[in-house]
Amino acid sequence: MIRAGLPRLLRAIGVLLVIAALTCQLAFLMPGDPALILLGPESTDAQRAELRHTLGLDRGFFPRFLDWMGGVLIGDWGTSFASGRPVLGEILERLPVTVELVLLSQLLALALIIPLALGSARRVNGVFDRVVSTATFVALAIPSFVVGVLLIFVFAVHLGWLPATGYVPFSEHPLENLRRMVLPALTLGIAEAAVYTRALRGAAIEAVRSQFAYATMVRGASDRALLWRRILRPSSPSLVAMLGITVATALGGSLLVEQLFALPGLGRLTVGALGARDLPVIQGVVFFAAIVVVVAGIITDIALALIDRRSIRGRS
Amino acid sequence: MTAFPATESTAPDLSAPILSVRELTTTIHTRGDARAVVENVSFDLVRGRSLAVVGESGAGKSMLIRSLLGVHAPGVDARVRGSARVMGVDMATADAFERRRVLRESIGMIHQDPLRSLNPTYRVGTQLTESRAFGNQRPSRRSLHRRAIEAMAAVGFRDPVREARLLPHELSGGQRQRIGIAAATLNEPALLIGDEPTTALDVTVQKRVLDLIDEMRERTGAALLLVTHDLAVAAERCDDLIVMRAGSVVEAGPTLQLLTAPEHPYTRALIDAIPRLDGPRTRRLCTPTEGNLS
Amino acid sequence: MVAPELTLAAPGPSGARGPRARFAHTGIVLAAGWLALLTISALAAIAGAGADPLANDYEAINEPPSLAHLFGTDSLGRDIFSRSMHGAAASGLVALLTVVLGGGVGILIGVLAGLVRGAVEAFVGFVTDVTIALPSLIIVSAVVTLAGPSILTIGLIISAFTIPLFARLARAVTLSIATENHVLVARTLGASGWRILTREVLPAVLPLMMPVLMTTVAGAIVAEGALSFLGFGLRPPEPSWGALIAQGRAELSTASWLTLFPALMICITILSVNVLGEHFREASR
Repeated sequence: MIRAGLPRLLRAIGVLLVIAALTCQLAFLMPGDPALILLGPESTDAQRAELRHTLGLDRGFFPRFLDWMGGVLIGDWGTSFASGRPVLGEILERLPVTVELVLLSQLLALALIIPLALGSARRVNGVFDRVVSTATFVALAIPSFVVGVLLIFVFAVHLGWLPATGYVPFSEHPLENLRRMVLPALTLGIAEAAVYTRALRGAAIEAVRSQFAYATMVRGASDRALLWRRILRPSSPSLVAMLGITVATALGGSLLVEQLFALPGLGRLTVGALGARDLPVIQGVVFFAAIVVVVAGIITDIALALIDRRSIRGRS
Repeated sequence: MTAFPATESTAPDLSAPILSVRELTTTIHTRGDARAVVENVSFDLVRGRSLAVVGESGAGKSMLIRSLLGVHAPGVDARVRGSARVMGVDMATADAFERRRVLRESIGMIHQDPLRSLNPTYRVGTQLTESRAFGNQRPSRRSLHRRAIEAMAAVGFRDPVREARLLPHELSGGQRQRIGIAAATLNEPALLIGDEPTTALDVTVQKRVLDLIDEMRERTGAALLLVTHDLAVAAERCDDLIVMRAGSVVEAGPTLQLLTAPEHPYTRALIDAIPRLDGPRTRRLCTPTEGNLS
Repeated sequence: MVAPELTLAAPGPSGARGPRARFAHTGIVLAAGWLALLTISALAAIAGAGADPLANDYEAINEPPSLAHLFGTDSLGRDIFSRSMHGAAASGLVALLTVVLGGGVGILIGVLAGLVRGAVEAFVGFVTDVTIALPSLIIVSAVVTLAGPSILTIGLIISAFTIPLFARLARAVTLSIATENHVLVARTLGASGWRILTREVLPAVLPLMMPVLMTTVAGAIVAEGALSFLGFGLRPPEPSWGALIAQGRAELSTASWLTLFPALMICITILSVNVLGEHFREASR
């Protein structure tokens, strides 16, 4: 396992270094002098020179990159222009909101789709299966921001059951926190649910048709026991892989949802930083997101190995 | 005591058939098209006896088994007429609850491909006890494990405590099939069904697996329904034979009688196709050219 | 319970014209028809047909759908139908760039990586890893805000992100095809690398890439919508589906048409693209 993991780890570190290097060049995307654009035409030469110095733009790429990487390693990710606070502190402060949103959305999605997909596989092309297949195909065509707008309209504006915006920390008021997280989590979850259902349904149908499913049926297992205790596990690798990708790219998804529901998470931080052209925060968020992707990839691989242990114990 | 001609089943005495098939016809329906894969098959199998169903691949043997178990491939629209009674329960018409009870308690099946008929993601010791674990009462994990170890020891595993924790791909072909036999005989069923149980195995392992099946039958007194394309194996191991072709029974009777005095040319062709050391050099393939077989 | 594609029997000659096949066929015609209609309308809209999408008309503020304004008007009296069609043009450009740039370059790189192997393959693999680890929506937003929004920039950067996806898949497909008999025969017969590429490999790879091409086009359209929805896309008065939905959101309860029609447009378009993708997936089996 270590022998298989080491090259992967080195590769992951390489990927992170390249992304860190790219983020150090973000300022040059701006047409013209970044300092002039950021500070505006009324700024003095001295102010602009100072900004260039803080951003490291007065030095070459390598000193700037090494300086930033060195800072990252000791926990100094730079200082936000907008708030004047350390970037890492800003990120970690917002992180719990996004983590809760992502966890809740994925739990909701799984709770919804596993019964749907297994029910579909129970009677392939039966009425239930056809309804599920058609519904997921249609759901696949609805972008998450449309889902969010519709959910707000129906549940917050029209029915008035749930608040549309605002956030209460879980530690302060757990129930109110959940009440306010339901719609955002649904928005994020429904977008993925259609993809998950199709993946799990396909794998489960294949498993139900397998010889080992026949053997279990002949041993007198009920449909429920067969599906939940013998089909779900061998069918789940593709679902888990997708789950890994969703969690890995959750920051992108949270951008929309947090903006839509005004949740003070990482997505909101990013949107704010982008609007204010807060370069240190943008750089920090991008690098942080890349770390999440790499770590999520490794965790996914471990999860897949636990589901199908053949991959760790070698094939005969 | 022969399985033929079929006797009317009456009081539940020892001679009552464990498996009684009457005019069983299975048709597969596909979009406006129906095809009979099993046609008008009748036979009885009584306690302690063994019956082989012989035929080429595509003769309807596997569909016959599926029909008398009432377990059809998902998405296949198979319709069964006639009856297939196991311990008096008609598997074709029984409700799912009753059918599953019979499957768990009275039937054990040994499958053709021991690797593919085991779930790749669960330990063999766990899969072995499915006919108990998925029953009405839920035995404890520990008692199931203990039963799995016993069953594995009974089919000749040397270190069942360790081997029960292995995954199917970590066993040899013969070991996997012994797991299959242990799973099939777990609840000491009255009826053992073997669906080409040795076809996927090495020749050297085949005999040991068949011996083990015989041994387990002796221990539990189960009747055996052996489905095979191999007439030699059928002749060696079974009391009675049924020869099937294109879904129908061509000829049926006690093994000795069928082998020495086959009435149907197709049976004769099958017998001639058995390779023999003392026989004539020329080997005839079972090409059914003679006779009217439909 | 009839299960056409599941039955063990081989489908008969009548199989292709069963009820479900006819239904699927209708779906494809509808999907292709919608996309064609949308393309023509969008082209006509940019050519100047219909109402000016930016013209305010204070005589007709927040008017519900009517014959004069098919999709109604917004709070400045702008015609939503016209704005939706101009939005379609923006989405169409992004889709086109994804096909041409993302698909074209990506598939070419992937096929080359699969045929040449060695360092090229390793390099492509690494670049793919880097791109996948990049938070694409954030990067696209960052580039667009920093470099200045224009539909070309948006389209270019969205499609650039799809290159590695195509490359990775095309590489895998090429690897399996390169060992197939007809390619080996061509190699043995001494066919040139170019000939093998254009005559043997590409014709086999492209059909397999079509479903992914469709999925990715759908993804690109959604990405552009999301970007505009967040306000990082085209500058406010310029119409885009995402921006229209975001703008109409505040008035959803009083003037639902502001949101509903652009939302329907994007959903139906993506559904159509997906229907075609599904068709290609079935066909490439």
